[in-house]
Order: sequence, then C-alpha cells, then structure tokens
Amino acid sequence: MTALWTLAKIVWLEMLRKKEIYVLFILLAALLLALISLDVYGLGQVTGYVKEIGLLGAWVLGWILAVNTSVRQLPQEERRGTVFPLLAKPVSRLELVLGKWLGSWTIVCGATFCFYAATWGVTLLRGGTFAPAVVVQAALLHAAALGVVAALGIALSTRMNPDAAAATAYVVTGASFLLVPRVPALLVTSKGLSGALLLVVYNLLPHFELFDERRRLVHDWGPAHGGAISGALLYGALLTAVFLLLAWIGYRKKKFSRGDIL
Amino acid sequence: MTARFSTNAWPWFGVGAGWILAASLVCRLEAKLPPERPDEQGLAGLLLGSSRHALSADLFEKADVYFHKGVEHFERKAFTNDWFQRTLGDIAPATHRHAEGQETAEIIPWLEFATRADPHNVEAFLVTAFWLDTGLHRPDLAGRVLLEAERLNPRDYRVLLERGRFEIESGRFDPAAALLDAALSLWPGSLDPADRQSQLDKAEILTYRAFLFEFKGRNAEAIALFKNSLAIFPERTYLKARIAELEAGKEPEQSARSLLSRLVKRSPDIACKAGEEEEDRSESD
Repeated sequence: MTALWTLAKIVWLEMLRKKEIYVLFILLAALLLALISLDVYGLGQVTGYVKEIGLLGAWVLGWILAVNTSVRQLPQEERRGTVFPLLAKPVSRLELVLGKWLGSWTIVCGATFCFYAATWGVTLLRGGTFAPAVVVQAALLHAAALGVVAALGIALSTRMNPDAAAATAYVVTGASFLLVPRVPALLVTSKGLSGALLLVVYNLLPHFELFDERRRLVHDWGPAHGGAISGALLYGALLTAVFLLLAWIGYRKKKFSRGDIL
Repeated sequence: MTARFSTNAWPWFGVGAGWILAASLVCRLEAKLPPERPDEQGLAGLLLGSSRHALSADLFEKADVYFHKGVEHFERKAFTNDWFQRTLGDIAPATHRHAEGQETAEIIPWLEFATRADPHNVEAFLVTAFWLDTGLHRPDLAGRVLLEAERLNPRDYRVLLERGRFEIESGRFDPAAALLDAALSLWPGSLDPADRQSQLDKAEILTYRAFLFEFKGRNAEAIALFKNSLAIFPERTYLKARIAELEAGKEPEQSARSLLSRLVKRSPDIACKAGEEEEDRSESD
C-alpha cells in the first residue's frame, strides 16, 4: 500500500509542476466571471445558466485532464528509463499500474472538485446556491466516472504510445457520453444489422450517463435515491476494476529494453 | 522522488487575472456600445457565420428544457426497463414538471443568448417578452424586448402583432389599432402564407382589429374583418354569432371589450399544452 501511495505522490507532484491544472482552472474562472458579468434584464439571482455552464466546464475539463494524465504515466516512465529502477525496487508491475491509476485519479478528482468549488462560489456571488446533499452525490458519481476514464487511459497506454492512447480514449469515452444514452431511442427506428450494432455498443461501452447528476443539481430536484447512487458507484468500481485488470494483463509481460528507449 | 513543487507560477496567474479582467470589461462595455443596426452581423455573425441560426435554435430549445426543469422532450424508447434505464431514471429524473413563479426567470438568459446569437430569431424575442410579462410580471421589460425586436426586424409582422396585443392589454386602443394595421400590411413577410401559424396570426390580427373598429362604432368595417377572419377558420362559431348580431343591428350579448380582453389574456399555463399530451402518451406507452 505504501508503494501505491508513493507512486501516486509522484503523479501529483508531476501534475502540480506541469501547471495544466492551473491553466484549466483559470480558463473556467474566466468563463464563469464573464458569465456573471452579463446583465440579464437586471433580473438578479438568475443562476441556472451559470451552474449549467460551470458544471459542463467541470465535466469537460475533468475529462480532458483524466485522459491526458492517465495515458502518459506508463509510457513516460518507459521513455525516461525510470521504469527500470522502479521495477528493480520491490514494486510489482501490478503495483505500478495501480499506483499510476491512483495518482491520476486522485489528482484529477482534486482538480475537478476545485472546478465544482469555483462554480459554487460564483453561483453564491450571484445569489444562488446548490443543495449540499446533491453536490456530495454528484461529486461522488463524478469521481467514479473519472476513475473509469483514468483506468481506461492507463489500460490503453500499456499497449499504445500516449498520443494513440489519448485519441482512442477520447473516441471511446466521447462515444460513451454522447451515443450510448441515445441508443434506446435510436433503436425505435433502427432494425436489422444497425439495430444489432447499436445493442452491442449499448452493452459494451461504459454508461457514463449514470454518473451525471447535473439535472438534479441545476434544477433543484433534490437528492437521488440512495439505492441508485450505490448501484451507480458499484457499477463504476466494477468498470474501473475491469479496465485495471486489462491494464495489468497488457503490462505484466511487456518487454522493455534500453535500446528502444534511447 | 525528489520532485518539488515549483512556485514559479506567478506569470500564469498574471495572465489569468488579466484575462478575467479583460473578459469582464468586454461584457460591461458591450452593454454600453451603440446598438447594432438590423443589417449588421454583430459579433455572433462574425464568429459563427450562418451556423449562428443553428446555435440560436439550440439555445431556444434549451430555454424550453429549462421550463421543463431540465427534462427534454419526450422521446420514445425501444426499452425502458433494463437496469441502466431504471438507474438513470433515479439519477436524472424525467418527470414532466414546469418551472413556476420566479423559477421561470431561469429561462430568460437562454432566450437572451438565442437572440444574441441570431438577432433575427423573432420567435425567441416573442417568447422572452411572453415570459417577462406573464411569468415574471414585468411588462416594462417585455415592452423593451419587443422594441428591440422591432428595431432589429422592422419588417416582421409578428413583432407588431405582439406589440398590438400588449397595447390592448394596457387599454391603449389607438396605438394598438395602428400597430395591428401595420402588422396586417406586412403579413406574411418571409413566412409561408399557407403555414398554419401564419394563418392563425392573420386571423388574430383581423379579429383584434375588428373588435377595435367595433369600439369606435364602425360596425361595417368590423363585420368585414370578422368575415375575413372567419374565412380563414370557418369553425369559429363565436365569430359567426358576432357577425350575425352586428348585421342584425342588435347589441351583442358580450361587450367587445370583455371579449377582446379575454382573447388577449395569456398565462404561463398555455406555454405547454403539448407537454401534458406528451406525458399522457409516455404513460400509455
């Protein structure tokens, strides 16, 4: 367990040094401040659009961070040659995969919660608020979604270079976000082969819509049923475990040679 | 393992702070700039080109979603009973509900964005005015929106019709008559004259104008306009009865004023007649 936290800590330090998080945070803050500068007929206390756009920003920026951070962790160690001293220490390949995932996931979650805090702060400035119980639920579900994305990124990076892994992760997660929730409606008109393909997509790709509580947050629907939240969290944990298992399978016998690196 | 957190982030913070300041100033200054002319593209036009129409339509749709508390229009699904769909039903509720009272103010920014993206989206202006007037009880703001809509779309009869309706509601009948005459002269404008909505609008203009003639005791002109309106929608029996009463020289049972005030009166409830039908359909499915 100590090895996992040490590996995770390296990821955090690297992320803090690279300053990507600050840049994304500043982008979101600029967007939110521009939004609250708008005077909508002097109506005041109109905060729905600020919440909506702020949370959309948190989702999009969290997604970008999760993919970009996770896909470069293992290839970076291999390129720098630091994978050799790492594996020479009593650190197994499974621990390396898990540690890199843990570091990527936790740092991205931290950044995403900062995005939530920024959105909440700007909403408060405008005279609105969020229901705290729903924020907790939404943040938990969002963290589960980021865990899945980070695990997918790590799994892809075991067999691809960072650019290819990032592109594939964006396509898979983008399709999951946008296409999978629409499949039941598309199946009303799609029959035959296209219908069968849609069903395969529906059952194979992750259902990220189950981690998205923005409707409850923005439109004050109140907290969701505890059973649904636990179910979605379990589903997220299961997906993460599957992707991490695939990552380990892809990495455990991978051969590195100093010649390739140089 | 020896990595340290670099504190050399101040230039980034400087850039960010400058950016935030610039963005805020742009938003403040934009409100103070002279309004764009109808033929000007504006910032949205320059940035987006023709795609601004699609963006505006999308933002207009977003306003409707906000009226329905974030729930999009009902869509038939091939299945709704698997674990994913049941869990999704709890995470993202899809019950048919409406924003009420001050909640309706949340609709307005999206309509404002829609009109900024495409200043010729007259429907967005009209819906903004409707919600400001009926939902938020701010007829002053609604009037301002309609004047802006007219300035940007001077040849669109729908704005004049809406302004005429507002004047009738406020009891200013002479300006209302002038606006309705102007609306009739511009009908159908760029719209298809055979379109049901433009037909409805024409019948509405004719009926309002006929009642305004009746106020003045000019029954012959009122009868002619009622007949024109009836020609468009022959099933409107109250018009038939009105024409018969006026032609017979009888004092109509209901005064023109009370009928007209009932006709122009609107409430937020009429905004979603289709919604309940959708709800019924989804339940029966």
